[in-house]
Amino acid sequence: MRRSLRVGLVFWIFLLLAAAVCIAAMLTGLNLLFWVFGAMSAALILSWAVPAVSLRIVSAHRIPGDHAVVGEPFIVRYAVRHHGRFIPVFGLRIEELPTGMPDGWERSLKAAPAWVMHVGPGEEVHGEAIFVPARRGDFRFERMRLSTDFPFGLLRFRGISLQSQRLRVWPQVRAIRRGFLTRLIAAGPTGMRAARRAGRGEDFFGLREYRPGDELRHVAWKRTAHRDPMLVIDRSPPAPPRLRLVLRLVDAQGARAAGSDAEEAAISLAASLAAAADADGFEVGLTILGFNEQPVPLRRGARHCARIMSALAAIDLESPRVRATEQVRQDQRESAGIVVVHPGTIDPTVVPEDAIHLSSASTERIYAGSDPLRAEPAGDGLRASVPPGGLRASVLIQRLLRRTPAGAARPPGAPR
Amino acid sequence: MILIRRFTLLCLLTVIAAIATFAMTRSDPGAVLVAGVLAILSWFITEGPRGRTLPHWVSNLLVIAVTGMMFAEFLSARRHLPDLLGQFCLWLIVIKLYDRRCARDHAHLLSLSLVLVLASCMTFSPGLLLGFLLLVYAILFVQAALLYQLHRDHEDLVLVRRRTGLDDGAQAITVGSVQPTTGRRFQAQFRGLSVGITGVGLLISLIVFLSVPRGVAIGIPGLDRGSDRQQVTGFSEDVRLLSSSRLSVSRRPVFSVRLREPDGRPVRLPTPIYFRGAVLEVYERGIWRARSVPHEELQTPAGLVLPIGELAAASSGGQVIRQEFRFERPTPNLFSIAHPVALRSETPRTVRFAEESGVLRFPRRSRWIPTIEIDAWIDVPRPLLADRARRFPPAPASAASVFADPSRDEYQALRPVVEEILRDSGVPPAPTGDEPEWTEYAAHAIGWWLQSGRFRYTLDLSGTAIRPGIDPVVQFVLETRAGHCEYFASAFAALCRVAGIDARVVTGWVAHRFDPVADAYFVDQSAAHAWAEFRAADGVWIEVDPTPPGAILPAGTPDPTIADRFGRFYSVLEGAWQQHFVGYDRAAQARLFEVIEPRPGRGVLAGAIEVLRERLDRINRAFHFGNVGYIWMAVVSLVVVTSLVILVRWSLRLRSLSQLFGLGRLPLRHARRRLAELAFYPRVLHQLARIGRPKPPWMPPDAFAERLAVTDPGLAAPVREIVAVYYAARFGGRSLTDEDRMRVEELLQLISRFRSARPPR
Repeated sequence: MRRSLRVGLVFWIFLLLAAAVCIAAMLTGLNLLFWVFGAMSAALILSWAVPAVSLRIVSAHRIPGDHAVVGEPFIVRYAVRHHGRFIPVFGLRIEELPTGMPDGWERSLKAAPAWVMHVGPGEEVHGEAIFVPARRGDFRFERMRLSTDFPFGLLRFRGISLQSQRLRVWPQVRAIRRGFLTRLIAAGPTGMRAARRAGRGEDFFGLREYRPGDELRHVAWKRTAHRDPMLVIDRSPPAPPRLRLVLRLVDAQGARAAGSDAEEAAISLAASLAAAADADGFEVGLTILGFNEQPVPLRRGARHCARIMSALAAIDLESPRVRATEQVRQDQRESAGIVVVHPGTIDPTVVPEDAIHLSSASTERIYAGSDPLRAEPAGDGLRASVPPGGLRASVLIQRLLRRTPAGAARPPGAPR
Repeated sequence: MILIRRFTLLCLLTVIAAIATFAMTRSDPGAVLVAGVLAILSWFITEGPRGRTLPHWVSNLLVIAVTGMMFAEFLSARRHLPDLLGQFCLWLIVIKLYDRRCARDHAHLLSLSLVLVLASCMTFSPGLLLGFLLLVYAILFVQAALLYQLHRDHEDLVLVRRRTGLDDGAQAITVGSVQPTTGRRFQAQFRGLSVGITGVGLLISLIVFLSVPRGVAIGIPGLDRGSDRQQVTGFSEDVRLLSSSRLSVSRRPVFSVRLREPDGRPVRLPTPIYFRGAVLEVYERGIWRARSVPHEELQTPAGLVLPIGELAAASSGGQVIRQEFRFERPTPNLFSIAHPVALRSETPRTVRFAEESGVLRFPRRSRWIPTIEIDAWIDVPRPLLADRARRFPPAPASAASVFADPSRDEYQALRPVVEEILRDSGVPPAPTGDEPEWTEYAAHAIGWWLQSGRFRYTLDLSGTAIRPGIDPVVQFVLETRAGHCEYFASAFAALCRVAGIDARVVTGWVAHRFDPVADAYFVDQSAAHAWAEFRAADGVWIEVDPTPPGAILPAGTPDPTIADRFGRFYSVLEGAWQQHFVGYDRAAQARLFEVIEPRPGRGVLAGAIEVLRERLDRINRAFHFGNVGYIWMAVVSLVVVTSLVILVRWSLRLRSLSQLFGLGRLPLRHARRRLAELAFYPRVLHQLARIGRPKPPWMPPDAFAERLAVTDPGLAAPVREIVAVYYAARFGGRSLTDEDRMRVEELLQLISRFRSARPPR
């Protein structure tokens, strides 16, 4: 750990005062002033010695976080370990230093340093620093700085510790209006249906022989009357609805579809839809048009949702675009509802005919609130919550939503 | 959090200590006390959930008013600058106390209190109480400064985590916990660290205090306050009236004296006893000095009485008192009641005796002796004194010319005063031939006039400016009319000389504190005194004390009460404070570093041993134990060292047991009970270590027992059984019965026997 010393204005004022007291003591011969000068000298010496020793006997280690989300506070924890035997360390501040690189954390994250009030000899405590990401992507942490000015605040000793680490910031996730996805994909081949396996449900799956433990009400009495072995009815469970999100970041000519802000808004909308779909029990897949990324298959669950978010976070808008008509055709073979998210204006030519098109340019009917998060005080800390109401969402193709029960939107000019 | 919450109270206590310190240094502490009361009241008004603070505009208005008031005071030049600065800081502190809101306000309060204390330190006569208050303030300030760091950082943390907005600044939100991150037992560790920092800080300040060079300003015109350096009461061989500072009362012991009849019976006199040390006849520009008089050098035979002076031969029929002196520190002077006639010391010494002045002293470079006996004849017949006085004619005119010469301004200034005194007393203005007692009448009239209430006795001359164009005695008589005994004695001698009477100043000690237990008078530096003598018509010198009698305590104090004893103890502390702290100057610094430096011809160790021996000798003399005192000191030292060793070992053992059994968080009562229950377990560990099978600290006891079952099956059984008892007592909440304890003892014996059965591998 590289250590350095920071001398502030308070130190110079104190030094000036001590010098004045020393001169006054020598000129007047007043022993009380000599003693006060001695006490001030002691304060100076201790201000140098205590923080210097403190920084020598502690080390800090950044505990890697999983991910951050744009607009949501992200807590980075630091494990501070005391290697000494006797002197406790007080008032330790930990802060990240700017990396100076294009993917440095300072490009995106607003930071509040961590503060550790006390670490005893041989102990390890965890301090928390708060970061608020402003945009998605991969960002790098390089150096962290430990500093303390305990006991008297005259001198601040700083030590820099190197620990390179990357952080993926997911796109901003906003609350989707309740029931929006259900109305969009309600039934039919892309909506709720029976699964192709036995399980608890109401749809008929098949007959099989009775096994101990089967309920009597599942016995197929009519068939059993004609056969020796007793037969019971197997039923199939309901399968979740499927949603394939298509994020169109390229136009028909393989060029960039819109500006950066619109594309970021589209990414955010895709992330919000994916999160909402996962929360509603959908199987979600993701296709990003314009990049040579493999589509994310249709799955459900938190890990799968994280995979989608990670894929959205990793999009580099500055990289060259490719045409991706083939990807869409592959997606078309899945029995899933396809929602295409467009940055800005809708271009229905690159996607299947029965897809639903949403645009990030007008989301008043999609999002559940105008503000992504709202604060509510709760005890000594606060938690972020999403307020109900306050819609700022839109469905671009209102006509299609109103016309079909499933809300399937058809592009203008598509065959009926 | 408890620590941080305590900060506000600690800050207030620090400020109150600063205000009390400032009040100690002021002659009119009324306003300061009002400010102190306001400061205390601020706690009840501003703190708490219903606390109220001043609006900003009100506090700003008050600050402007105080600033204007102090500026007007400064322009009117009615006060010293440090006093004015302290007053200014005092009222700023009071305003700030009602206006505090955040950590920065508390920092301002602490800074202002520091400046207030600095202003308090600009006093030339700090008493012991002021020193004590300063020490209290320093300790409180250190604690408050330490807590301020934590308080400020915590406030920053809360502010940062409650900062506005996440992305669009629309709403405030708090993120994460605002509870400070701490380890275990942080309060105890903070206490330990703060005590350590305070101790180290005091040690460093002491080293700096002792080592910073003194006397830098000596010789610099306008800055050299050499004449003001004698600020403590004490004996002096000359009298300097040029100081305008406050004289502090030092209680440092000087000597004790037992008065006895020649047959050994103790004597206790009803009046204060004056021990003469120096006779000063030459006056020049405010300074009285001794005149060079003929003296004889006498060699005292060891243990025998040496007659001195002409009166010795005739003293056999008179009332002679034996004075057994025991000095506390080296002194070149010897002191005695008037008319010493014999000396006695255990070791042969050379003593100088001036017959004319009756003063005894050791020659220069003579080795000091702590005890000496001096016989004094206290009722010498007047004719005998007159006969002796004829041999010593009046002092030359040069010695008395300042006030006896009519051409001098001093004479012209004081002559009307003398005439007025004599006229008011009914004494003729000049001696007449048919009234030989005129001299005594006139001298006593002057003495009574000085004691008559026109003059005020004080040790504080800080408000008196020495004017360069006027003699200090004349200024005292005509203008200030306030001073201490040296001024009264000087005024008496001067007025007598103006009246044509030969007079002189005598310095020494006045003993009035008698201890019936020790059967001795104890004299400390506060008993230093100056009085006067005038020469009667027959040539006999007659003592007069013109100092108002109220300035000297009555002799023959009753048996000391607890308050008296406490007062004496406080006096000793005050004396030590004045001598070692206030009076620490260049000479004291040189003496201190002489002790540290190796002495010529001796190593550092030998020098240190000699210094230690001298110190022990002084301690022994202070307690009057005699040679037995060394044995007692050795015994006490042994007891203290043994106690310290036991205390350290006990605390270390307690600490290790506390860590072993995890008693840190338990209440003391439960911790003691658990310690008593589990006391056998450390013995088991110790026994296992002795037989070469120590239990690794990281290994649980049952795992260790299992391992022993593999390596030492014979040992595993008793260990396993003891471990079961240990687990039951520590984690099962089971109290051990007598059977359990006896069984554990048996198992311990089994383990110890295992050593002889199988040597460790």
